[in-house]
Amino acid sequence: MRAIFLLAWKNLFRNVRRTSASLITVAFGSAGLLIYQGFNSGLMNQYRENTVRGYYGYGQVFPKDYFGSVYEKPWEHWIVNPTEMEAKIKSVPQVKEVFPRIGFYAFVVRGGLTLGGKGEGIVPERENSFFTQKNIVDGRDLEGPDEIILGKGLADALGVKADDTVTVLTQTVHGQLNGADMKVAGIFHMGIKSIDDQFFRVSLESAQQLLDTNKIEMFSLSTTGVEDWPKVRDGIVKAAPDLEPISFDVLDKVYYQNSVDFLNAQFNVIRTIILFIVALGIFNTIAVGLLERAGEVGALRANGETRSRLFRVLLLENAFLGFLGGILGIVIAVILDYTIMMKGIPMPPAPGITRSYLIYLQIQPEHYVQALLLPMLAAVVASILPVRKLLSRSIPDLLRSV
Amino acid sequence: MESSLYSARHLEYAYDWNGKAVPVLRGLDLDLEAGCFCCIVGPSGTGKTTLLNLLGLIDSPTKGQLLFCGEDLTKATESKREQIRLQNVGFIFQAFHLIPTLSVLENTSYFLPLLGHSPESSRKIAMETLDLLGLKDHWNKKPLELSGGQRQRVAVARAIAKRPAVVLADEPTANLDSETAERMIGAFKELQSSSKTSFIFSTHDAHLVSYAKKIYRMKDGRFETEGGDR
Repeated sequence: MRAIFLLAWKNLFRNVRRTSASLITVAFGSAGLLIYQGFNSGLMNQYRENTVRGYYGYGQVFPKDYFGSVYEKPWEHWIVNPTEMEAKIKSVPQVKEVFPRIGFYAFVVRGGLTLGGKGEGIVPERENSFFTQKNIVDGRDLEGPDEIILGKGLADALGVKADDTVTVLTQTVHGQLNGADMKVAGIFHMGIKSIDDQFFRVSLESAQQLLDTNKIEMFSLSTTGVEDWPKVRDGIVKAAPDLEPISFDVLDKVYYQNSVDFLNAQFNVIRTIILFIVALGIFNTIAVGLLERAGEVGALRANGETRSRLFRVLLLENAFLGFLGGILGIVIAVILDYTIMMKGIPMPPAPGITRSYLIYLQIQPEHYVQALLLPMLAAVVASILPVRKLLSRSIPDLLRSV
Repeated sequence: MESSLYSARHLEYAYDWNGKAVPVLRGLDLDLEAGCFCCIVGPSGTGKTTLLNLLGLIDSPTKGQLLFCGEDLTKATESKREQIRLQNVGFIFQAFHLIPTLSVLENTSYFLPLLGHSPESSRKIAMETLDLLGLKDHWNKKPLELSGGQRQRVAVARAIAKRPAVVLADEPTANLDSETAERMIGAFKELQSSSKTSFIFSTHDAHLVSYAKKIYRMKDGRFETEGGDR
């Protein structure tokens, strides 16, 4: 086996110019894969950060069977003992912070203009340090009662700016009309049109006063990370069986999960195309190189070398080529990442998004493994046909080649 | 009494040309004893190389029977032929066909590990063979650093290092000056007497022919004169 490895390795240096051409082809394929995968990962991360730190948190905890159901009087199903429930949720080690919330529909009135919107009551002093992706474009974030922050679309439709006053009108849980004047603390622009056009936020205290209730609808969660969600979910179900934790990707299937699925599917297509181009690019070089070695292969076979051993040597030779090309590609990608891509790649708004982004490559360890192994596989696959063709020739035919 | 190396009866070979069989060998009978030193001579295109190919088991006769060391190999499988070629046949070609990325020593010892020799034993045998052919000082060079004659000697060294039962050589002295050719023939003769290795040459070289114990003259795919002992 050592002899096969040695021979395959030495054969790489038989024609340095040809090997270099193949190496560059493989290297650019590998670098392309790595950069695209890093870009995809950065884009997904941006999506996730937007979703998690803009609105949902890592997940939300609802009363059991509440999420996805439609009720005429939803407040009847809300959490009646929020302090007790909050303590139970916080007992799960992976939960870092709990954000109680109420969602409600209301009219927002400014002068003679009245628009319907979806309001949310939050605890600003807890949320502001975690929900950093709201992207306040005018004024500041919510800080206390009698203040409101509005989505940019809603604010534009009402024609309000920071420090203006609006009136919020809604129905209490007892069916009476209630309202309050609130100062516009700021305007947020998350970039998600459906949110920016409808949503506004007030303090939980103001929302409970408007609705005349002490209940809360649900808790948003800050946890130790996305990967810890299964532990969080199981811990909450165990600590509070009446509650149902739901992760952000389920809550935001349309925006986040569909985007991730779409990007992954797109990457699979592009990866296949890159590997096909790599294989096609080196196929001809391999075929010509093998053709020149026909006499040599014939002489070896005439002296007793077996087809199977030569097959292994020649395939291994191309596996080495793919491996070296992969390493070179990784080096190229890392250099690009730390130089011209260091400041991020400016991207126009994605589908469903209304603001542009800077995407940073986020190359994960498994991406390096793929960038190494996939071009190697492509090089081996590209060599199978010419190697088989060479070895299927008769020995006298091989020996006639010059 | 010497044992039989090859025994061929009514050996025929034809190749296909646009669906038409073109005869190359037309019914050869041949008997060669182990330890022979013989030459096949004749004009180009008479079938000398084809006969060597059949004797070296790298091609199969269209008709007839070929026995090697008493075993009928006319219809032997490729793996059986591979095994016999590895253990018993050393081929030398006019075009050398060395591996340019391997050193002289590595080219020479190429087949020895396949025959079960350890790396140390392979190296020792290869160095002895190179010494026999006057190439000991060049063991670490690559084939492209050698002259044509030296490369030919490396090809010879690779073929004889495994101490085969028979060495088949197609114009082995064609690229050599007379002094080197003489030295190589000397090495062949030494190996023939020390290891009972048989040598069969296809050649136009009258000097090499002068050393042969048997000479087969071919014309139009037949033996014009059969190899009598000299």
